[in-house]
Amino acid sequence: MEDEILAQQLKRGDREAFDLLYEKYKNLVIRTAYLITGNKSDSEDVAQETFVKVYLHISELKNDAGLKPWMMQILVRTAYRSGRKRNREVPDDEIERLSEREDRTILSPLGQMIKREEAEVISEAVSALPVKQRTVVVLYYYNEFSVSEIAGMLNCREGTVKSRLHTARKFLKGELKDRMDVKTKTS
Amino acid sequence: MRSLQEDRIKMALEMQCSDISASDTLKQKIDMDIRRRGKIKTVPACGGQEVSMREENRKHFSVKKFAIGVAAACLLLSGGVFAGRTTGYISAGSTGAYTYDELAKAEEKLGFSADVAGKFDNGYSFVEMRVLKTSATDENQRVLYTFPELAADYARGGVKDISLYADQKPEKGERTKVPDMTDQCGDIVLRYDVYTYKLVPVGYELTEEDKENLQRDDYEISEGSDSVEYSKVSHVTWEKDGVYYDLLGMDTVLSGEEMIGMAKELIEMD
Repeated sequence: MEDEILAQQLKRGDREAFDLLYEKYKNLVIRTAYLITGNKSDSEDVAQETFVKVYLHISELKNDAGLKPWMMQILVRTAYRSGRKRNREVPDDEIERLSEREDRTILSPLGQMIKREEAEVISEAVSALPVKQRTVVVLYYYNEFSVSEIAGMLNCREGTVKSRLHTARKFLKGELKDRMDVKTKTS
Repeated sequence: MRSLQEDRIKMALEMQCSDISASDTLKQKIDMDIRRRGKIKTVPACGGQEVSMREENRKHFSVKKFAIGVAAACLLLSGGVFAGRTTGYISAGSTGAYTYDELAKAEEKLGFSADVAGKFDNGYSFVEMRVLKTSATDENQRVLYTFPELAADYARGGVKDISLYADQKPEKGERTKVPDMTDQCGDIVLRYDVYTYKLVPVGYELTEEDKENLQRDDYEISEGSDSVEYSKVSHVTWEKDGVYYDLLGMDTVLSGEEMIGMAKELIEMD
């Protein structure tokens, strides 16, 4: 169902529309939250809070067709707040998940397209970015929003988004070179 | 079009989160939370008021007013002294990008004509342009007025670090900052300014050097980053036929003379 129609139905208090919205976006929301917060436990909390806020504040959405960016805007703000609250310890389930990832030997079809090692280096480098740069990288590359859409979501000028993307790319380039050099030397 | 390197970033992110999915209990928790907050509604009011989101929307830049880029892209008015109460600008997303051949279409949406080059002598080429809806805001983030603004990007050797902004905003601020360079093209005065932005984590304690730097008109410190970052933003600004232009370089290697040269090319366009 089109987002615009979903939004209109949600505004009328249609619970089925909310269920449809959840099914449509649950994985996108939780994965985006994971990429921004960096841990699974927080991403579930952020996803929960995002959907609850979408439901409770749907009447504040001015442009029905803009449901998705509006929802992502809520997600980003919630993720920022979550990041400020949580301590930096990695929960047990996250350690387990990461170790499971290390043990996996069968690559997905997507994984076959790219060297696993390089992907991990990129992921690590993205995770090491400051949260605001990381958010812009995630929204731009993972969610494929445009610079202007991200500016709208983050309530800032395009120049801000460009600046963060520019700085992030510079950092990633340097990190990739350094980390791949180290891996090459040690392998 | 995105480069191979950029495609790799996307694929790496997809791989990183491919095994993350919503738990079986997530929807239940969401439904319970909605009930707990006592807001299961049947017919909510339309045209809602801006209440709850406003609180979350509040910025936390307490050291100085601006975040990087917010100030960077609006320095026609910045520099510490403002004509009105305007302290910053926020651009809303545009409806789509225009090619160079679609300039007339973009100008129609913009409501005025602007000088936009397809290529500069120094090798910078037009990439795309957008028409933005920009809002002037006061220090409490209240919107004072909105105006359309043209934003065009330029790249050289794959590096997109130059943008051109053009608008007809109704106020022109006075600046206390002494320009780093000035020049003239006919009757039009060009000024070149370089600003340094230091983004710091929340709770960052200012050093003596920071305090000294903050006295300068070309230095801003903003809270909100996880680590200390610096950015240099250069501008050539001028006014022609009632249109304000801002040629902006983001950490660019171009010198002031080179950027002024680009501005002159724009001014002298037929």
